[in-house]
Amino acid sequence: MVLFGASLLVFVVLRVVPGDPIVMMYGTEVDPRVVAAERQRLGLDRPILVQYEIFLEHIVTGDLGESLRYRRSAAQVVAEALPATVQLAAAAMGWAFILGVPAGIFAACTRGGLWDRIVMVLSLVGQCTPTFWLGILFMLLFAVILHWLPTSGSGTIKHLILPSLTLGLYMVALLARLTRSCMLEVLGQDYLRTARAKGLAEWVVVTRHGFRNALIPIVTVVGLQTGALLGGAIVTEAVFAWPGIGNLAVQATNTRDYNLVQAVTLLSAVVFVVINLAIDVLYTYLDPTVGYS
Amino acid sequence: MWARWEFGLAALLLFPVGLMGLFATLAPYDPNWLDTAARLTPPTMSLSGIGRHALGTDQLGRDVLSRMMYGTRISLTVGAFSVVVAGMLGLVLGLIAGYRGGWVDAVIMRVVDVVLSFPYILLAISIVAVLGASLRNIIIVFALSSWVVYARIVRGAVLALRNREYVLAARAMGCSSSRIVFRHVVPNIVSPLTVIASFELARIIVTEATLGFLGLGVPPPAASWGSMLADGRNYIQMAWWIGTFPGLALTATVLGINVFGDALRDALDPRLRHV
Amino acid sequence: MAKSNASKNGISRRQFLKTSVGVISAAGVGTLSTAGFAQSPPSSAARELIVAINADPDTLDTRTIVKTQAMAMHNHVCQALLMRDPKGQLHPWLAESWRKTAPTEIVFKLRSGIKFTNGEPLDADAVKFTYDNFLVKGMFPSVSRQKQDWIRALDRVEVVDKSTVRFVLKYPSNAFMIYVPFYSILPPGATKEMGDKFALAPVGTGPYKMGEYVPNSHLTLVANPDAWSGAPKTPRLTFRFIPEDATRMAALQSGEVCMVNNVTPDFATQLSRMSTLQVKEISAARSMYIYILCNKPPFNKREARLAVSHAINRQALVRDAMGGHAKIGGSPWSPAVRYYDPSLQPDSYDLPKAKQLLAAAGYDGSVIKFGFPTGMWLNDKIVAEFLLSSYKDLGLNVNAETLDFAAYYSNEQKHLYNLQMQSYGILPLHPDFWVGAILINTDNSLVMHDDQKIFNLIAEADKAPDERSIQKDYFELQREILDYAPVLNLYYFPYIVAQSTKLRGYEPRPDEHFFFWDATLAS
Repeated sequence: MVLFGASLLVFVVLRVVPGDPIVMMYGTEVDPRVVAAERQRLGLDRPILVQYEIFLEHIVTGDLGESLRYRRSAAQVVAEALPATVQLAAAAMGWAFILGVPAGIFAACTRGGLWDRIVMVLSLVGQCTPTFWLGILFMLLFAVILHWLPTSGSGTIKHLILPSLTLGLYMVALLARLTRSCMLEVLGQDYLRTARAKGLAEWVVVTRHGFRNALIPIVTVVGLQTGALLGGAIVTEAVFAWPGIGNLAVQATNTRDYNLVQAVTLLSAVVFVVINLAIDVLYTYLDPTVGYS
Repeated sequence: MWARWEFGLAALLLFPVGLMGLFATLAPYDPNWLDTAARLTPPTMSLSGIGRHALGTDQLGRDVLSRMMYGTRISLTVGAFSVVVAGMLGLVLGLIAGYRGGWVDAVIMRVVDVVLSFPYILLAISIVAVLGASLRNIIIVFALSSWVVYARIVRGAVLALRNREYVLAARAMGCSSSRIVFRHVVPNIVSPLTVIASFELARIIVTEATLGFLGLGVPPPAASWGSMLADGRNYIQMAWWIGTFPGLALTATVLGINVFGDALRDALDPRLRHV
Repeated sequence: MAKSNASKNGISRRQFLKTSVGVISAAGVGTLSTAGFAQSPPSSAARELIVAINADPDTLDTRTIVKTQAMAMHNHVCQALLMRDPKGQLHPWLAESWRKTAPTEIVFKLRSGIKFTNGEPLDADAVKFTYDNFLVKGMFPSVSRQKQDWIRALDRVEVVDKSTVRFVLKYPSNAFMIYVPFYSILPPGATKEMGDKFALAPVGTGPYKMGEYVPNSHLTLVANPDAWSGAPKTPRLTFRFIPEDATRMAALQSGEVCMVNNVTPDFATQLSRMSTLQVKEISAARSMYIYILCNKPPFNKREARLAVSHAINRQALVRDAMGGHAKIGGSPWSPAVRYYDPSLQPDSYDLPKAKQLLAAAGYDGSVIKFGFPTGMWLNDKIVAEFLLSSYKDLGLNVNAETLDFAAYYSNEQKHLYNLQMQSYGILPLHPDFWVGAILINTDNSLVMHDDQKIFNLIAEADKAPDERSIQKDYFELQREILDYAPVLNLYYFPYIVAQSTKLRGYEPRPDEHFFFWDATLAS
């Protein structure tokens, strides 16, 4: 249902675009006769409704059309680029959990202290900076000046560090603050006092009982942020020349490669729906433990 | 005490920015005036003398300080209008969905899901491609992609309140639906909405910069912070001032708004923390 | 604090600090020092060259290639009958000689003993197969219409014997030959067998063969040990695709790549400060024009067109808008293109004369529509602003519109503008490529002029019997274009590349192609 709506939206929006994809492909030195012939071949001169019909038919059979620019199946082009973006997003999430959550827990535990303030301010700043700017600064600092890491491209773990950190920084900041506030709330709860009274070590109290329950809203938010992650990926991939679907989307849009943009968008919608389902499942798993006391 | 500290910080950050926006017309130069012979001059940090550019000039010879001041207006306009339009749209649709229930609710929520599943950048790209890039269209883009956040909250609140005793009582007494809505439902959702709105405002201002990076922001020669940052990214090494100063303004503003939102939430209702 | 701007990496500590403080409030950044922490960049082994290009080729199949960068990259693997040198002259490549046997017939003699990397022979059948893909309708449905159009003068290709082919034209055309280098010869067997996959991994006769092509990431080529022209000087060549300017330059500065193409003048200044880098700038075969719609008033009068030309101060334009990085001249095509007449001078900047001319043309103050691109060409926004102020000085009532670069070319839009700012790159370095597209007599011409002399000269030059007559015709054509002014030439673009000082054997070309088979990187 959602996917149908998304596909309709994508199709309508892209077809109404005032721009000639054929000419975009060929650049300025092109003959109008060439343009006309090409339009005909690609079926772009048929009435809109007919085009949409054909479009739907094709989707059902898994054919997302031929990418105008690459002259290959759009679905295939997207599928080839997808693993790179997944890798990037996963690494970004990784940073978020590795840096963000502990920072949040730490801040919650030292509530009101200097470290708490520092963590909070840093994470606020992290949420307030445009991704591309951050990415370029990181690149200049770590790659050009310090030579610790490569500037762009993909291939090794080293190549993954800067782009995923850039992409993930927003999430690190978000998770830090969220974890902190959830932990704060949970830390004051009765059942934790009980646990303490039982004589359990503080760290056990914090991690096993406190954290588990704080996890629920964290997980929810993480799920919701997946959409933002893809948006950030587009920019990050462009800055770091990372060969994923974000990069593909930008190039496809610039060249009015309808089919490719459609393919990328539909795929994102699918991914989002899947992740939401996963979150729901995870939620029910975590839920029973809340009632622990 | 925590709340007070935060409000103070927010004010400290936002006050200068606000002043800049208000008094933009006092800027030393016309923000769109090209002085191509004076391209890329470094900042002199002083306003005295003709031909002096306190914060330098950009790659077209325009004064950075003046553009930054006018940019305040543009960025804040985009942000404020987007939030207001999105908020109203979300409020109305959320109320309808929550209150009517049934298939209306289902349809509206499906639409919410569709919009949410659309990566906002792609939505922005598509809309700007269709309508062309202009201040008005950017606002439309942001409004269309962010109304869903409000709608969800509003609908949730309405659903929660729908069966409260006083609402049922009011209904029994024969109060009209709209009366119930306004007297009982709305006051309860103002707090979460305001908090959300402040975060959205901050997010939108940052996103405007990202759109500028992709070439889809407020079109030239407009001087939004976003487009200045986007222009400046190629000059970080040669003319760092082009992007840094608007970047400072952007960060300060967004930081201030976020801090304010936090403080507001803490002050209004600590239970809203998960919002 | 150190004030020096020149440092090992071209970025002074102060510059970087100020930028980062503005965004990340961490003060710790300020304690870094460049000299202290900088380690030596990873040394590129002499066994591999890595360069950064600003665009992904999309396809490496000659039948579907459209981008200049793609042409250059794929030519390392796939070769054509003839090769074009940086001056536009044709040289033998896969064909060892050619001669015109009749006004409409050209016979090519192929080099013997050349094999494709899959073992197929390079023979007349392969040549015929290649050209048939373009000539025979439906043989290859995705074939580039553009490339079909370029050889419209060609009727058919005939196999004479294993190493001889005859090209039969529909009509005598000198210009036909300039397109031959664009058509790399395909191996019939491999092409049919691989189908779609050929575009990602072509098979050819060149000094390199395919290693790996990852779209949007990189293209790696490895040496072809059996190449007829000998193995390349560096056995491994990798092209990395980095469209984002700042990122591409950073890759060069950090030493990860040894050459980058398409450097903007501002970056050129920055990069030339580094002692390990070299910036090379040449005149490209590309010009910036104002196309004038000649069948609508006021520009249907020659005086009005000349008025606009005299109102533009080209020296100031180049100095201010292009930072001095462009050249000006009277010819409508750049000095990099053949038959360029160096004696021609551009119209002088003479505002009073311009106003006089405009009045003489009877301009009544009606609105002039001016269309200009932004972000498509180097500094195009700035140039457009400059032009707008020139128009104002002249007293034209101008309504300016940015052209969305795609919408710009749809037919309905073409005749909307009285004046259009546009760039054109004459890739084969021969004037017919431009005049034959822009100044001929068709309904959808951008210019719609009616100067019979121009039409005649274009046709004559194409049919002229020898070099002397061809040059005579093109020289006259240049003069006539300058005089009749259906198009105004503003300046000739620069083509700027930057490379490591250790890179030898590469020089930038005006057709914006790059070839690395003779390049080496000293370690």
